[in-house]
Amino acid sequence: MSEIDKLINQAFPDELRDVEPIDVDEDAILSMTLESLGLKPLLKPELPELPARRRRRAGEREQEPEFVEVPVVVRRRWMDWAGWAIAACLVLAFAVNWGPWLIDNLGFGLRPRSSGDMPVSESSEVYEMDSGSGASVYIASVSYGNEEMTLNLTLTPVMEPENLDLDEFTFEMTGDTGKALTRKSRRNEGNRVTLEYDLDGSRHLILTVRKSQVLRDGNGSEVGFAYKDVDKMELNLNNGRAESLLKNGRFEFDIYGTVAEPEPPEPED
Amino acid sequence: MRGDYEILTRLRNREQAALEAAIRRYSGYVGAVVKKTLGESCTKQDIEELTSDAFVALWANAGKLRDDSDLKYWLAVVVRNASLRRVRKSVSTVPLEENLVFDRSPATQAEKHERIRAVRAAVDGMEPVDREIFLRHYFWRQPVRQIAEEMGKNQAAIKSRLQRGREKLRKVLLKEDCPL
Repeated sequence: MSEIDKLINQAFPDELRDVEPIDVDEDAILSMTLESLGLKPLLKPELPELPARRRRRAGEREQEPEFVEVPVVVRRRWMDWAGWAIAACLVLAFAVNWGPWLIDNLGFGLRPRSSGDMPVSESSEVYEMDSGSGASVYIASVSYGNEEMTLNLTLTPVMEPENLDLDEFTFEMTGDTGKALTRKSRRNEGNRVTLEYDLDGSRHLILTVRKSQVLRDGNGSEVGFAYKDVDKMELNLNNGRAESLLKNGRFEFDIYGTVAEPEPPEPED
Repeated sequence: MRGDYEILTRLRNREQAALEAAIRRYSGYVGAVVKKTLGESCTKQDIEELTSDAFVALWANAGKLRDDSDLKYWLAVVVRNASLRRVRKSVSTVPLEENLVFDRSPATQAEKHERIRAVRAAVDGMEPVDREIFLRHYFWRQPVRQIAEEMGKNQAAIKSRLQRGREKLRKVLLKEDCPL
């Protein structure tokens, strides 16, 4: 090739680029190329043959499609939606009309937590000014003799952080007969309260813990005070078990019994 | 072209699927270059053989091509050269005189580019009809008879215009003061 031929070949790249493609047999070119390179065609998953093509290949004539009347159940989808929409409206109306009443009367909502079993009054006239949210009362130990008993209690605040003023709490013990036992002494120390009672031989006792509560009117002025039950628990001195009726359920306490054995009867003459 | 780099990369990794992708994308164009180069003597078999050879060359040379190579143009040049080698045996063109302007090969790449620019300027400066006839004959190697038939002119007129084109090329190149 002469020098000028080489230059002409390189001087007109657009003459090459602007050539319009023609239809060629790509598969034939591909197989020829792969054969020249010693490569095998890539395997492709075979698609299921269409029935029409299979019939044509078999030389069958395609049958004219037959149109057959088929009864069809017309399902109106809007009816389904309408049912749900009506149900949703009813629920919404119920919630709007009765929701506030239910919240007020069934005792759930954002009301302040009661420290005992007494619901917090929502009187518009008098408000309870709770100095604390109450306490959990546990019996640490009980020691008793024939005529007296000593009770060690532990009080822990329900909500942290909170300091309990033990003087706000009162304790009342009743015996088997339902009669209140006489308290001989009371000591407060930290979060522990030690109580001494005269014991009348009862082994099943009821301890009621209350807390004094200042009552104020709408202007914040003190109008009196009341007691709220903090807890009420049954003590069984025979097995050292107690059950909190208002808060903590059943638990055990240490018990130390020093009951004198009855003297054996005098032998009869 | 977009996608060429991916094809080229996969060809370098010897992915057969990339070769198939290149064939699906460019075989119609490569075949067209074969057909235009071989002209009236071109057969379907010629197209498929030469096109296939171009893709065999692509598979073999993928590792040598630059990342930004224009695969379409590269294939076109390859298949055109192969087609010209085949057609040269049967088609005779009026030779451009070797000493028309240049009597030696360019010494540097810059000199080569200067000569290419001069040739392009000379041909582009011709009358449109003369330019087409010139490129048909000297670029696509079409014989005078085919050009005459396809352009609806007699062969003498084609030869005359080719002669005029060569003279024009000589004058322009001399005027451009190409390094000789």
